[in-house]
Amino acid sequence: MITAKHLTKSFDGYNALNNITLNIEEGAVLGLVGSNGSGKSTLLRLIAGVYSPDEGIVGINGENSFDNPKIKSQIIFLADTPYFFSGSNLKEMANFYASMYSTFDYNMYNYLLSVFPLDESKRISTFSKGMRRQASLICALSAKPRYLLLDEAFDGLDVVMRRTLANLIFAAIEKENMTVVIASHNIRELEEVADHIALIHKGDIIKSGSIDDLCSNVHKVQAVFNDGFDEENLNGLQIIKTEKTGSVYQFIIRGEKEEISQKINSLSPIFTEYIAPSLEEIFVYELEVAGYDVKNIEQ
Amino acid sequence: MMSRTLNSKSASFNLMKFELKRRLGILILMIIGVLLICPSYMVIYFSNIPYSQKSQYVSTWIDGFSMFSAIFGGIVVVGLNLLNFSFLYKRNAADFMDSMPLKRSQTLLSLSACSFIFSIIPIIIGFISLSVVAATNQNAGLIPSILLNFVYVAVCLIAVCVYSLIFILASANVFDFLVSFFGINIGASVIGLIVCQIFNDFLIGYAGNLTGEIISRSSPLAYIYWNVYDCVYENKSPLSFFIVSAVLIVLFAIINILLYNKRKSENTGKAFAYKFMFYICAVIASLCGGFAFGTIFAEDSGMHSPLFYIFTVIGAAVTSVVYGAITFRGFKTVKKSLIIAGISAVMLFGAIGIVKMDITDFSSYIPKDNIKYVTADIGETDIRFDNPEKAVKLHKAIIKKEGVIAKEDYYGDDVTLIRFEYMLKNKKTVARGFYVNTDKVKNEISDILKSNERFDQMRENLNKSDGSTVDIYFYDNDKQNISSYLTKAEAKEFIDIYQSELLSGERTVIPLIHISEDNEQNIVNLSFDTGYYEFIVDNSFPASKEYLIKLNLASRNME
Repeated sequence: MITAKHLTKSFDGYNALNNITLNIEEGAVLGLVGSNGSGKSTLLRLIAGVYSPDEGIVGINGENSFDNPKIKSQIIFLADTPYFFSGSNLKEMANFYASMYSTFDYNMYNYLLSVFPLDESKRISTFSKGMRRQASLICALSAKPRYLLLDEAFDGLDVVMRRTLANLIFAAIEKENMTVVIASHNIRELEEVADHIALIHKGDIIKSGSIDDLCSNVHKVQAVFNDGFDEENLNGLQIIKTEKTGSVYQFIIRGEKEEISQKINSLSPIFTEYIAPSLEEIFVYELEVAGYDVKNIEQ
Repeated sequence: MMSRTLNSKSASFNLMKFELKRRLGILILMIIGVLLICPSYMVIYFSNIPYSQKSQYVSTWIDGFSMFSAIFGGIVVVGLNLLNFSFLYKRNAADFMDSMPLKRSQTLLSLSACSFIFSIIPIIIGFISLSVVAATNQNAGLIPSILLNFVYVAVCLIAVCVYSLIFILASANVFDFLVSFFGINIGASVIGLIVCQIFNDFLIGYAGNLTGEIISRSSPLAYIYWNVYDCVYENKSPLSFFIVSAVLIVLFAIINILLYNKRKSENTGKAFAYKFMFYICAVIASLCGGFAFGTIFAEDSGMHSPLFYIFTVIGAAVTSVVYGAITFRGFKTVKKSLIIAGISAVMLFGAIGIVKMDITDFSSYIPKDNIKYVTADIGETDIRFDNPEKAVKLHKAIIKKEGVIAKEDYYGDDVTLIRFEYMLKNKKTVARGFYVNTDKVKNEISDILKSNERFDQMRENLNKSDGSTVDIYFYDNDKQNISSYLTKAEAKEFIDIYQSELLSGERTVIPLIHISEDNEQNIVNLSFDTGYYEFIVDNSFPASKEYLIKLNLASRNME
């Protein structure tokens, strides 16, 4: 299990991560989402043992991963820009991974080569962005890590390749019980792969949980009321956001649907409609609550 | 359960193997290059050399190849270190390498060992070829010397490898490395020269040969190469070189481990991963810049002029600000740069002040009881005195007599450079050099030039000479310049005759630099590979003159 306890990391006085505590169960796929500079990549680097934490613990089962080959041999981290040795080809890179990870499986490598159509003897520097991403994924998945950390994993991949990657990840989870953490800006892509999501903003995890729980707990309600309606009448509900267009009110409310409808119905609305918000919408609302508002940025 | 982890030591070894393997092409090219020099070119070259001279040529090749290997290998090891550790300067490369299942110290060891092994392989092959050539040319006796030279080169490369790594680890990009590595090492030598200049300006008796010693100690790199040269070419005892190198290697290795383990991955791409490197470079730059400005603007009177101090401060400030602006791409560090310039100027002026006070009595110091021997240089080949009395007498006279030391450093009609080098019983040396008005100490100089030590040494050097003849230059009775030669036996006989004539009368002998125009045509000059001597053979030396005339050297030359 990936664990982070009271994890803090700062750069030149800027708090990249602020006292984060996080547990990622074996076999889970966690999507890390957040604004730019929120600390997603920093968290991945800390788990991978690239950075050392300023405070707290981060690693596997309570053991720090920094400068710990035993832990690091179970983790593969693919950064947002994949790195390859200058002048190397895919075969050489695979050999390097094989020399570093005893779990490297050449059968898997050959299988992945058939899935991702890359020429293993061609210099990687001649590859396109998407092909480089594929090359790095081939090496990483062939090494069969227990923990796979992907930063912007889908960046540069076309729709088919994204699907293929998702399927490969699912297969690895099924066969190897691999744990995957994917950091991305693209929530829609994560929604297809991840079973858990954590929202990071300014170094804090402001929301986390399974996708089902997150989606079932936030509701978008559109309603029209008689004259004399006062928002204060909805006191007791956790309203995240209210918008009024003409006579139509739109509420984003956190809580149980039954409790919400009971309260709204008690105000005898002329019209009500309950819409399931997308994950992306939920995070936009959560970020707005946290002060990361489109309007604020535009100002 | 089968272990999922590869032993990290194996992974570390695999990393080294992988890095070596992927540069195999360059390694093969280097090996071919070395084989072309040695043995291919060497064997072709040797085919034209007479058998009797082969030993000497093999010996010359050993020295040349050793020095070449030390310099070439040094460049390769620094270059490869930079390539191997360049991942530190790129965000994605640092992510990749730092996420590998290795301890940081293992990564450091693997990659630095790879640099050393890569550079030493062609050199090993070169030295093996050299040994084979020596053995097949009946010079197997030179093999121990080849082995010893290989050890010098290997020690040199290890030291350069660990030393250059300090700069690589403290830098955050290639530019930082180039500035710090070359800036500090060249700058340290320039500071060494500045120190020599201060000594020369303010200490009476500063001998030029101290300059080499100071520069050789200015930086570890200068020390290593200076000593490799001394061991290879001057056959200096290598013991102190080995001991100091071993200490330096251990020290640098510890510094590297500390720096690498504490080097934050997130410092990639910033100006200097460790700020101290910037401060060291800035101080060196502003010291050198300040001194250069001061010297240029106070050209005539140098450090004795107030102008020097004013322009040194200005120069230090300008250099420091410019250096800061280049390093941090802007003028954000002007205040810091000015403080550094101030510190540099204070350091320089402080050094001048301390030297000027001569707190060690450098100018008046003459070793006393613990002298093993002393050599005196009065314009000829050095004269060695096991009994230092005559040399010490001259040294004392130079220091104590009024007006003996010339105010300006120049060779004039009446000024010559006299140097003493004392070898002490504790194996330390003390060297002093003076520009002397010879007329004021002519009796003391004369004692030295008339001494048995001088003539005994002439004969000894003559015996040591490899050549069978001695070159002679003089004027004949018709005032024609004769350039001819003497046999060794003739040269010895001439020296015997001259010495007996010299000691028979009450003469005062002075160095020939001091000679009058009238006497110029009485000079006889003997020159051979191990010595250079001058004699005045005027009418008061009839026997010596007669001997040269009798040999009819002009006709010998015509032959």
